[in-house]
Amino acid sequence: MRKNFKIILCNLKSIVSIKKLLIICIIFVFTFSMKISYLDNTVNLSVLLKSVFYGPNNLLNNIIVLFTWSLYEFYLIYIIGDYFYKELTRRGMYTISRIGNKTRWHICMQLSLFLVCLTYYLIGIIVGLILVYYLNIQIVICDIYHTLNIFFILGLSSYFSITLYILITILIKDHNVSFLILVVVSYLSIEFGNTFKVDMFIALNQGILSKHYESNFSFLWSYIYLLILIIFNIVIINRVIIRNDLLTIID
Amino acid sequence: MENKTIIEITNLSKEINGTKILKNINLNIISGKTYGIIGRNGSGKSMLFKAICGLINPSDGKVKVFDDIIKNGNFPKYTGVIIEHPGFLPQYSAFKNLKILASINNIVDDNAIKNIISLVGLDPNDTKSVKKFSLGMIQRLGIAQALMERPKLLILDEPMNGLDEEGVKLIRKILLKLKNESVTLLLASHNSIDIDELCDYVYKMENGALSELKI
Repeated sequence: MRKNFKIILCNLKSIVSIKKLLIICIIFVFTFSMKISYLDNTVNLSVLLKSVFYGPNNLLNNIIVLFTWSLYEFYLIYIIGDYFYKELTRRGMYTISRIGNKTRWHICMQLSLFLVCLTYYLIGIIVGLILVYYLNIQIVICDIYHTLNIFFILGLSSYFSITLYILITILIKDHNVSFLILVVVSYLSIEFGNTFKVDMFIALNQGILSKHYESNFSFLWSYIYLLILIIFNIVIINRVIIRNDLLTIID
Repeated sequence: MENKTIIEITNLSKEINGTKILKNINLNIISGKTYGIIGRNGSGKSMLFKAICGLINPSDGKVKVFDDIIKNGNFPKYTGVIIEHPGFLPQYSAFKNLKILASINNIVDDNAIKNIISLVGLDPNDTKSVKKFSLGMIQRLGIAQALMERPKLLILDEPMNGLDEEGVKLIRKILLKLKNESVTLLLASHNSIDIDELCDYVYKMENGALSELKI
């Protein structure tokens, strides 16, 4: 258990760098500043988060919302994807030689990626709160349950996107193309879900808050749906990693 | 440990997309000895090393290292490895990269990490990130990570790749020292001097088949 914790800590240290942290802060300063001018002098934290992370309900209605959502959503997928690619193709062998087992390495890796997703949004919220504080807007914390729901659904849905990205990368053996595929599929999902009123069943739309409020489906539904799909993705990725030469999974 | 068989390879075969990469390989590696494997590029040397390390699943046969059967993605214990191109976290220095790897098992301290970096001819206090390293420097760092935790078995696939003449001499000297300390070495090399100076036994890999050469 202690060793697993060390491995996860080692992964987290490997993923995060000062440069990336700075970019994350800039992204969230931008994201929050897009919404802050619309806020009153006193605002509930859950209302603030709902407003900032509302996300696009369709592609063409509000380009700024789509751009802001794309910025924080795809930057996270990009940094984790880039790390996983390098770990899988080059450095993984050295980590596995110390961990002693490919499955243990993979499970620790997935746990690390999930933690990075949560930490990413936590940093975002902290950056936003600091910004709000400096602008003399008072924050009221009264709906903890809803605030936590927003936080966890953002983290879980981004983590699902990452497992999907890894799966596509393993299948087509090119991480740049798979990133582009994920971006295109995400945009298509937003539009398709809105046009045919099937947001509730589209996995990539589960983390977009506007879909929840406008198509009226619960966070609990999204948690269960995403968890099932995440487990499915991880099982397939693990099978590919165990059965194949690590260094040739991606060319 | 003396004269004990530490690697036992029995009828090992590997087939990928209908092509036999390894053909019925049988090999016993005795502790404290140095084994050289020569052969052309693509002859199957790296694949054999990957099978020993559990990085690939054999199509047939079995590999046993330190009495453990290597299967289902298990990596052999007490083993240092360098196979193909070494990869590190480009944003960090040599020391930070090794420190992150060392933190997994926590059996070497900072001084030991610095000593091993010096041993391979790099500066342990250099804060330059690995992305600015030359191919030879990355290779030296790859060798340092393999040696860092003082493994009993070292599996080195073309360790002299990308090294200049001075680097080759230095690494050869380090390997000779390890050989004298009874570390078991398994070495693939194109360089006949490495094989002549270091190896107790030499094998030739040709089209996936392994045969012993008399030295």
